[in-house]
Amino acid sequence: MRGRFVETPDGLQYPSGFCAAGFGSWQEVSSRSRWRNLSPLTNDLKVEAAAVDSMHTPISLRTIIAIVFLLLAIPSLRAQYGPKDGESLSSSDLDRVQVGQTAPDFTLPKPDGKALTLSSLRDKNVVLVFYRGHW
Amino acid sequence: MQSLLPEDSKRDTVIVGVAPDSVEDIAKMIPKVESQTGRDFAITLLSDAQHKVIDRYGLLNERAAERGRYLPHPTTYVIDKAGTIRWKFTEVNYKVRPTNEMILSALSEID
Repeated sequence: MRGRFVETPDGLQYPSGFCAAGFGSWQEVSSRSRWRNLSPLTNDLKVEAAAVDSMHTPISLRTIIAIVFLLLAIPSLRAQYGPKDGESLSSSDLDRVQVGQTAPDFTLPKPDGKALTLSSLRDKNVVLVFYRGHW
Repeated sequence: MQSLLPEDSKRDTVIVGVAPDSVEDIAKMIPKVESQTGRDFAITLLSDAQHKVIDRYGLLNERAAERGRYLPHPTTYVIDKAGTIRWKFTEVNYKVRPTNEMILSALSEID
């Protein structure tokens, strides 16, 4: 394997450190995949390759599942912003929220991106100010 | 307004603002205001870019919304430690705003 040419299981000679891979391109690869890429494979190599594949399968599956859950979690984290209830109420009714009522709870993002929930401030008096914004 | 609060109620009181701007716009605006006023921005300003909370409180300015601008009628609530609204002021005419004294007076009436 260290010489200028290597002899592969199919008896052909290839330049050392190179093999045919993909669509006929020549590239340097590890010695194991070099042998695997050069068909025909020996039975031993097939078994070994199968063992390597079965070792990798649960990990990559787990990784895929984790990624899917993360992707699902991102929109649901965003969706939690807003009021806790009453999303079907009309958007303009100045008399709806009155003195004496519990302030409708909500969660919104702060400038640093972290969420603040109104009801988490129950040990404090809150001056809640709605601004027109667009400063 | 934060600076007007007596020391003992500063610990007990937070000022929470809600604006229909994006988190990014609010984050950009705060340092500008701080450099103009020379003091820390004492309000916890929240982004309600989808105006969901503005809608829940019934504060959407419908005339502005018809023109594609989703703004609230500026409104101030004083909420006690139990979460109950104790005082409210809505500026239907935006030139009429509650004074700091009005808000402080409402705060002084609750524990």
